[in-house]
Amino acid sequence: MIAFQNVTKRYGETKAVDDVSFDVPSGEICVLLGPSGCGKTTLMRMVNRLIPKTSGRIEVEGESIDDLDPVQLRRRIGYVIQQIGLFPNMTVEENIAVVPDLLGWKRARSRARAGELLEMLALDPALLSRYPAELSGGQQQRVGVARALAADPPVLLMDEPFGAIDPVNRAVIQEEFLALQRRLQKTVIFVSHDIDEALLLGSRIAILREGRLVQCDTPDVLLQRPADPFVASFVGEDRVLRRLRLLTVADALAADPPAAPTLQPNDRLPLAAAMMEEYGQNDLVVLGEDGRATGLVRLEEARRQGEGAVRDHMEPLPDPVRPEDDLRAAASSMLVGGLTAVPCIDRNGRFAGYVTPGGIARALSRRGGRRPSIAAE
Amino acid sequence: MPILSYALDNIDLVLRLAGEHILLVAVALGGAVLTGVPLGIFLARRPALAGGVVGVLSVLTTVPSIALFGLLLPVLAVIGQGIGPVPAMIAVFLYAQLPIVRNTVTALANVDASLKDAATGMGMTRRQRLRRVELPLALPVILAGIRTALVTNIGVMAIAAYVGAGGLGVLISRGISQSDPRQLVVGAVAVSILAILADLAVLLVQRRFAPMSIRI
Repeated sequence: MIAFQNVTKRYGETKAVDDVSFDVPSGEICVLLGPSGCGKTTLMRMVNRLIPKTSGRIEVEGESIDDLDPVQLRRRIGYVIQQIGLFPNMTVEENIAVVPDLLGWKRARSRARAGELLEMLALDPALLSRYPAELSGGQQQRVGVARALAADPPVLLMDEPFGAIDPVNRAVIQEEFLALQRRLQKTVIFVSHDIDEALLLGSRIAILREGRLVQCDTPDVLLQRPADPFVASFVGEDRVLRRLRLLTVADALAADPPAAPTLQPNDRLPLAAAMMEEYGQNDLVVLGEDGRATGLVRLEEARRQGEGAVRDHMEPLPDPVRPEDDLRAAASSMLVGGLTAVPCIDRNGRFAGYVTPGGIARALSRRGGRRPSIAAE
Repeated sequence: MPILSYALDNIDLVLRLAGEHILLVAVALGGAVLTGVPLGIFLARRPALAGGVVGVLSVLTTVPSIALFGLLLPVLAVIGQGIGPVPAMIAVFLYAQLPIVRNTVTALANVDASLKDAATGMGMTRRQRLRRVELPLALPVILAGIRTALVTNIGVMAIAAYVGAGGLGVLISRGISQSDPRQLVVGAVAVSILAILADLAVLLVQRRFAPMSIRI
C-alpha cells in the first residue's frame, strides 16, 4: 500500500503538488490522470524520492519514505519511464539484472530471473543476449517492464510507460500488462494523460488539476458521477459511451432479468409474430431440442411469410455476444444487426438472455462501485 | 634515391629517434589522460566551471609550441630543466588537456537524461551510475579526444628537438640547419608514419570498446 498524507511540493511560490492525500491499496493500479503540468509526474517521483517533497508524509508498505535511505528505497520500487531508458551498453539480460546485481544477488540467480521474466512478458529468450538497439519499440518497452519487475518489488511506479508506442502495439501491451498484473498483484502508480488508458488499467483513477487532487474514484464512479465540470470535461462528453466498455453483457442481463422468450423450430410464424409484439422485440431466438440456440427469426420476416414453420424461415445467429463481453460490443451488434434484442450465448452454447436497449440503460443507471471508492474532499 | 639510401644507411639512428619520440609522447599523453579524464568527470557536473576551464585550455592551445617552449624555459631553468625532454613533455601534456577534457565533458553531458533518470530511479548511487552507465557510453567520445591529442602531439613533439628533447625532430632540425633535404624528408616522413600508426592503433581500441549500440 502507498499512502499520501497532505503531500505538498513547492517550487518557489508555485505549488506543483498541493496538499494531496489518498491511499493506493495493495494490489491495485492507481492511475494519476490530468493535463500536462497538473503535477502527476511530480507526485509520482516523490514516492521514490527522485523529487524531495516540501511537506507531508508518504508511506510505502507502511514505512515512511523519509525513514529509508533513498538508494535502498528505490531498489525496492520498480520504475518504468516513457523513454524506456534501457542502457544501450548492456544486453537485455544485463539490463534486466541491474537491480538484482545492485542488491547483490548471485549471478546465476539474477540470470535465471531474467529468463523467467522474458517468458512472463511473452518475449523470445533468444533476446537475452541482444542489445536494446536491436529490439523493436514494443519489445524494448516489455523489457523495460521486465527490468522493473526483476527484483520482485511490491510497488511499481510507471510514468506514461506505453506513451511512445504506436496505438496498435499499445493496446496489445496494455492488455498483456493487465493480465500480468492480475497474476502479480503489484501496487502500481501509473501516470497517464490518456483517459482511455486510465479507464482500461486503473482500479482507481486520481484526477489532478493544478497540483490538487480533484477526484479519486473507480473508473465507473468517475464516469457516472464526475466531481465537478473539470472532471466531466476531462473524462469526456461521451463518457456514457465510455462506460459501456466498463460494463459487461452479464451486467445488462442482471439488470434486465424478466422473461427471455424463445421459439421452438416447430412453432408457427404467427405465434412468433405475436410473441415479438407482446415482448416488444423485433427478433426472437430459436432453440434446438438440446437447448442450444440454432437461429433467429425477425419480426418483418414472420409478418411477410404469414404461415409456415419457424424452422423454414429462421436465419443463422449473428456473431454471438458472450456474457463476459463489454456492452460496447453488444451495442455494436445491436446497431449492425438491426436487432432490438441481441441474443447472448454462453461458453457452452446455451442461450443466456437478450441484451436490450432497456437493459443497457438500466445497467448504466445502476450505481457503479463494484470496487471500493473514495471521494476527494 | 638519395633519400631512401640515407634512411637505410642510418636505419639504426632513425629507429632510435623514433623510439625516443614514442616514449616522450607516451609519457606526456599518459599523464594527460590520467589527469584530463578525471578533470572532465569533475567538470561534467559543473557546467559553468567547465565552460571556463575549457576556455582557458583553448587559449592555451593557441599558443604556438615554439613560444610555449620559450615561456617554459626560464621557469624550468630554476630546476635546471630549461631545455631537454621536460619542457617538451610539459608542453605536450598541456596541449593534450583540451581535447581530452573537452571530449570527456561533452560525452558525459550528452548521455541521455532519461538514462540517468532510469539509473538513479532504479537505485544506483552516483558512483555506480558513472561507472556502469555514463562512462561506458561516453567512452567512444573520450577515446576520440585521446586520439586527436595523440596525433597532433606527435607533430608537436617533432618541434621539441629545438629545445633539445630528442626524437625525430632532431632529423628535421638538422636537415634544416645543414641544408640537407635527405635528413629533413626522412624525419618528416617518419613523423607522419608514426602519427598514422598511432591513429590506427587508437582507432582499433575505440572499435573494441564501443558499446554495441554505437557500433551498429
